[in-house]
Order: sequence, then C-alpha cells, then structure tokens
Amino acid sequence: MILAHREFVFFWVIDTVCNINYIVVVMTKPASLGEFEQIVLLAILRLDKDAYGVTIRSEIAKCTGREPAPGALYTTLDRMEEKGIVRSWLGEATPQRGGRAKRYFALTKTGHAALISAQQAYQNLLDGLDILGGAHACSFIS
Amino acid sequence: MRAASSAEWILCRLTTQERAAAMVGDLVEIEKQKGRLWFWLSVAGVALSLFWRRPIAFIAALYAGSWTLYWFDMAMHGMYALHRIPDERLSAILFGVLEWVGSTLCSLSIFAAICYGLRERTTQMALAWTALIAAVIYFWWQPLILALCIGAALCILAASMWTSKRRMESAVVLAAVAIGCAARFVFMISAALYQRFLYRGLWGTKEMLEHRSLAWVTASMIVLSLLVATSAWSYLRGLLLRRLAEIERCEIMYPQERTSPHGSSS
Repeated sequence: MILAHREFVFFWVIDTVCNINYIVVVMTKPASLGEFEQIVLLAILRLDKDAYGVTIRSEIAKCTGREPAPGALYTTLDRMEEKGIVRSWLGEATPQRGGRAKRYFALTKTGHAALISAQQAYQNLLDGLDILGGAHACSFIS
Repeated sequence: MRAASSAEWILCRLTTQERAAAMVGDLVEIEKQKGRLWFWLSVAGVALSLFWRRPIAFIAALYAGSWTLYWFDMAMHGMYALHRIPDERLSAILFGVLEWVGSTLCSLSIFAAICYGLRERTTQMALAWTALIAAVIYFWWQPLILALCIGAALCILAASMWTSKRRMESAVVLAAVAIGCAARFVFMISAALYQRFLYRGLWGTKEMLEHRSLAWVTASMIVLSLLVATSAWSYLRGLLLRRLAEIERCEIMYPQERTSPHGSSS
C-alpha cells in the first residue's frame, strides 16, 4: 500500500512537471512586433494569396499614404522570415519582371499569434477612447 | 535588361540568388512607372540596408571586446586597481577565465544587438551574462554584490534551462562563446609565436620600432579571432532559427502530439 502511494506521488510529480513544461512551451509569450512589422503583416493578410513585394508595397501605400522604401520592406520581410513570423515561396516568372519569379509571403502560426497579441495591446489602449469621433476626437483636434 | 542583370549581380553578393532575383523582379515591375533613376536608387537602398548592419556591428564588437578586455585587466591587475585579486593560482586562473569569457561575450553581444536586434533572446542572454561578469570583476570584494551576482546567475541559468527553446538558445550562446574564446586563444598564441620568431629576448621600444610587423600581425589576429566568433554566432543562430521553424511546422502538422506529454504517439 505504501509502495503504491509512493508510486502515485512519484508519477504525480513527474506528470505535474511535464504539464508545467508543456504549458510553458506551448503558451510562451508571442514574439514582439515593431510598428512597421505590424503594418507589413496586416498588408500580407489583406492581400491573402497575392502578397509579394510589389503588392505589399502598394497596399501599404494605399492604406497608410506612405510608400515604404524597398530596402526597409525587404529587410523587414527577411528578418520576419528568419524569425518564423512569415514564410515565403517562389511563384511564377513573368515577362514584365524580366523572367524573374515572384516571392510570395504568408503569415505562419507564430506570426498570427504575434500580430493578434500586438493588435490586442492596441485595442486595450483604445478601449474607452473614441478618437475617430466623439468627445475625445473634438478635444484632440482643438 | 542589362541594368536588371547588373542589379541582380550586385544584390547576389549580399543575399541568396532567389531573393536577389525576386527583389530585382519587383523593382523591374515598378520601374515602368517610376523610371530608371528610381530603379537604381532603390537597388542602392536595398544593397545598403542589406549590408550596413554587419560591418558596423563588427567594428563595434571589435572595439567593445578590446575595450572590455583592457578595463577588466586594469580592474584586476592594474597599477591603480583598488582591490587587486590575490595572487593565488586558483583565483588568478578563475578571474583570468572570467576576463577572457567576459570580453568575448561583450563583443558578441554588441555584434548581435546591432546585427539582429535587442529583442532576440540570444542577444539578451549574452548581455545579461556580460553584465554579471562585469559586476563580479569590478565588485568581487563586496560580499553582498557577489552574493547577488551568484543569485542572479542561478536565476538566469534556471530561466535558460526551463524550456527546450531556451535550452537551444543557451546552447547557441555557449557554443559561440566557446568557439570565440578558443579562436582568440589560438590566434593570440600564433601572435606570441611570431613575436618569439622575430626576437626571443625582452621587448622594449627599440624592438617594437625595429619589428613593426608585429603590431600588424597582432591586430590581424584579433580581427581574425573576432571574425571566427561572429561567423560562428551567425551560423549557429541560423541553425537555431531553422530548427525552431521546423518545430513550429511539426506543431502545425501534428498538433495532437503536443496535447499529451505522455502520449504514446510521441
């Protein structure tokens, strides 16, 4: 009986340790994102299957009114791919591109989690503020 | 087309063939609206943004490594050191190793901070260990600070062993520092052998002026050792990121295997 009890305690301890380890491994804090990284990720999400350098750049320009420099865009995309936030694959080559293939981008699971976490933080800060209309908007403008 | 090929050749020096071709393809697509000047300015911008971090990080790391090695040495053995370490062999070896590892860690953490950013865990780990080693070297004679440093070191060690991801990141830092220290040792021994080859006796100003090549050889050895250390860091970091991406892909493909830590399928 004592042995059985000891075994139970032993396996309970092992199981608890494994569960804590699992929780820590699976529920680790998502990667933090900078402002431009969030903009790029949102543009990729908006473009869905058609997200490559040219379309991402024009989507950002259309939505924000600012054209990102190609250097900044490509280094951001490369960095995010290295970190596993986005993944890329080569598409078709077209004559307009001098026979060069397009490099398409999509968010990974980690990228989705990081973007949701970052946007949630913005949403929390915006809660209770009506900056696009209402009392706060008037006070900011005046 | 010649312009595009030249641009692709330039970008190929800085990134992979596939990425360079895709970037130039994008720029060629936009060139029709923006013009040739815009195309070349963009190629220059892309090349600069791909290139600038590494050389600047390398120079900063070289400076930081040499600077910390000098100041750590001054703090322990310098003429004006407030609390010199006792000349017992064990403490001398221990502090010598701390000094060596601390300066290597400092140069690598500065390199990683500039090249890959402060948000990377490996950079944060390297910076934390550098700060701890610096605190021990400067305040080893104050028991409270020494105890706090040991406590903090144990906490960092526990945090870096807690999950498999952290263990992999710690292994990268450890391996890069080990390679950096070994490279520095090998290259410094080579410089010392060259010094012996030039002149076997005691060195003074006269000998230094006679054999100016020693300064160049020593400087080259320092640069080479840092080159080995930073290349090892970049390579190991690349391996780590690929491994983490693989783990993530497996989690997406087989999520049920992660639901039970004792599941028979794992």
